[in-house]
Amino acid sequence: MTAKLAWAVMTLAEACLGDRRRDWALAMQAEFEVAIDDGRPLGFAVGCLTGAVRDMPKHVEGRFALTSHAIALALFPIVALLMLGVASGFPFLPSGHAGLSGWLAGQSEPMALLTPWNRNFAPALALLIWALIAGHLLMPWFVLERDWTRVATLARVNAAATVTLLLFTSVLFLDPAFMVLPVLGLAIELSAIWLLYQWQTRLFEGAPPGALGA
Amino acid sequence: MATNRRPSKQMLRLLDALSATPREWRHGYDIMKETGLLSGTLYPLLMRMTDQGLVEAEWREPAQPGRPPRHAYRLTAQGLALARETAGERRVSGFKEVPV
Repeated sequence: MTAKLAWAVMTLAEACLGDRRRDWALAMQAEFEVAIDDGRPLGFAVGCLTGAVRDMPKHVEGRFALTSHAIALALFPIVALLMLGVASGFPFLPSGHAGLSGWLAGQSEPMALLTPWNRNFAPALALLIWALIAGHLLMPWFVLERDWTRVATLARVNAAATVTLLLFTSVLFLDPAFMVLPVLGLAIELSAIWLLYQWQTRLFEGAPPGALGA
Repeated sequence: MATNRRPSKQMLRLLDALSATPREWRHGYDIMKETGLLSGTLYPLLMRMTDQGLVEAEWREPAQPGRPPRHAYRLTAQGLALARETAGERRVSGFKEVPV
């Protein structure tokens, strides 16, 4: 178990060192085998990981990797907020006169937002909002994999889902205030990803085909 | 490119170990054991000192078959000069004297 954990930590350390420090990663890997023989693989691996993480902000490739992870993590609250919105009744029920805190405390008296004439749209709206949540949830993985083709496809799907939701909200005369959160979330997500993509393009300009991020 | 910053205690310890036998190539794990520095301290230090031209690194064939090649390190002329310059500091800290 310790050996497996040490291998995992060592792999992470090598990944953190990146292409710029590839030689050092191989050097650490060779010494790691000596540490295994010496019975101290985990301590050695944790030290290497600490050193690798401390080295990351010192070079542009490391700063890019740290920023990518920070952006990927920052996308999760968007999903959490959307799910919280759904849990509070969006887009079918307002949270009632007691607001969201009242709903969480179980004191709200929600009223049906959909009327008998537009109730048939409920399944479509539900599907749309959950598709949007799934789209936002997948985005961080594609961003970290730097799979920009998938990121672009997903960004288009998320944008289309948000616009459709906005249209439904308008056509069905639902409260447009409910759309502030999905629209804001999408705007933040697209801006952050676009800036990251531009940075990567500048960073790996002229890199040989097959190089990381090229 | 060497810096003018005062060497840290860890760097002095590494200079002390590497300057004891300046012509000998040393492996990372052996340096760790000798200096008591942990891998999280030693490797960033070696990387920085190599970037600054104080330490040179070379790939060495493994002693045991089936093992990967190992990185070995020794001080450059610049590193040795720094070791001599800081000999006084290291003596005060209780380190060994550098053979010149």
